[in-house]
Amino acid sequence: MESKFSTADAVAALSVDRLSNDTQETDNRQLFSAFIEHYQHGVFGFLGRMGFSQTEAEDLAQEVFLKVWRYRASYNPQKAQPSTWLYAIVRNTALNKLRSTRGDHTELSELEIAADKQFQPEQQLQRQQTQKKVSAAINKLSPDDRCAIALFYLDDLSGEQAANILQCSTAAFKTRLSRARNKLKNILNTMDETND
Amino acid sequence: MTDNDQDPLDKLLADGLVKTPVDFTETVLNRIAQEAPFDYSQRRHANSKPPSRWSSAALIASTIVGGFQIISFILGIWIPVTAG
Amino acid sequence: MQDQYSEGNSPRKPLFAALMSAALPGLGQLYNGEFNKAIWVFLLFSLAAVPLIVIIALLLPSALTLPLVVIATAFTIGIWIYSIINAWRNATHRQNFQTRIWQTSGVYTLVFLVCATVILPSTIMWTRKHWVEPFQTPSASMEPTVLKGDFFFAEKSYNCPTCLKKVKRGDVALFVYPNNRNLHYIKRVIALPGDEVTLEGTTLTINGERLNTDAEPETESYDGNTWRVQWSGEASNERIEITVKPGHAFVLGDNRFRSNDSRLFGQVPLADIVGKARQVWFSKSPEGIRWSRIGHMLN
Repeated sequence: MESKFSTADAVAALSVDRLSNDTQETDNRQLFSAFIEHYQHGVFGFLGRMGFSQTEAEDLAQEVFLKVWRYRASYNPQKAQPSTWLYAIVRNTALNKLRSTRGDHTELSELEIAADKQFQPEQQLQRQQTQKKVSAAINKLSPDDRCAIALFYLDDLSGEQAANILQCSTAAFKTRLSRARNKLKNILNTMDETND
Repeated sequence: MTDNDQDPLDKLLADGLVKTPVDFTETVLNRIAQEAPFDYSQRRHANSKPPSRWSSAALIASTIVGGFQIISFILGIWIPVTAG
Repeated sequence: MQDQYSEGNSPRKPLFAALMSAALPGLGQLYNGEFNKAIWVFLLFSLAAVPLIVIIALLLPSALTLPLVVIATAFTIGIWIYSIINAWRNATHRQNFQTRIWQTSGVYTLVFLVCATVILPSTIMWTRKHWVEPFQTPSASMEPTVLKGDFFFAEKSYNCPTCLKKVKRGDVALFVYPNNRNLHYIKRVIALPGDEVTLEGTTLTINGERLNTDAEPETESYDGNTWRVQWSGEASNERIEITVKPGHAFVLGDNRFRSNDSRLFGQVPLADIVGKARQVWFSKSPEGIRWSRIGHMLN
């Protein structure tokens, strides 16, 4: 569906409940559709880096955009950029899920890791193994460490915004991030060693 | 905040350990449509009845009465008693 | 998290909210679901604004009474306006709103009736009866102390067991007119129970002590208080010699030959003396407003 609205339109309409009674249903759908299209990849990337399985990530992502829709009237463009607001919601949703279901989330079946057409079957298998391994490693980190890493790889989020979401200084964020990444690397190395 | 993908780990983390489903947008839109109509005119009427004549009259009457009470409260300390 | 979006959404109407706050400060806030804020707005409006500051004004230096009461009134109006504007604004931000169980028309009506028709009027009546009441006098009988056309505040915490001030000779007092208990009168308390008062010509004595001097007949003083009187008009030659009855007071107007006072209507029961004149807040003569009298302390 070709959207006639840009992401900026979608975000602007989202922030204030000012769509009039004349606005057509299709316009509203298209506005929000543009918003989802723009941010969905980032959201899924974030959730993956938080250590969720494919099924969990899909459920959580749906929940996130539903929340965005429901509470769009509370978004104040003067207080925060749209991506900051959105990823704060994503982070909270993820943390709530982690708190309520403790335990390893790496129940990855081979079927869940979607087949990636660009790889040969062998490479695909290897890729799946690697994904499984990294996901397992992530699940050994604390939720806060995972957040720092998860936020870091987002294209549409600056360091300052990430620090904002975590409610710490940019410097503190960078410190947390590098510590988390080192921990992750150590865990992966340990996993490699034990597998050898 | 993109990092130059220096190693395969970074690449994997950046690309995502989970995939975005192709029909994700549709799924979300349909779910929203189920729970609440996108059409605002429909939503407004579904959830709030236009005020009846009686309640409008009551509101206006109480605003007037209340307004007088408030004004007489504010001026209450200034209305003088006559002393011969 | 409960879905506050689909059914059950009751978007707040800004006009509604504003009108409710216009009818009663805080009611619009109640409509917007801001329970605590509603209470504080109403409390601030009704208690802190007029009565409290008036009470404080009575305990602080007299020069502050008038300015403080003016500030209090302005503050009260300010809270009212704030309540209206805030109700409007916050309603516009609450288009996704789920009403709480207590947000019904019955509750709003009850709150309105209790507050606007009971609490607020009672607060004013209580303040006026026990603390401060404004008066105005169309009579010249207290000139030059109180002019005809003066509007003044009287302290009501006066002449009672738990009151701040007690009656003293020389007080300019408000009392119930003995011949018509629907009226208040203002005169100066000259003598209290047991005192012997004589008045002949322009000579007034209490218990043998003369209040003025021949050199300055228009200045009287007794027991530390000093005030000015007027002996203009047709002089009276009568000689008055009385002993004040128990439970009564003898009062005279400062405009001695133009005053209807205890010489005519008798002694005033002490229990009927309800207030002490304190400060002029406005004054109007046939020629215009007497600006210089505004704020003038009465003694």
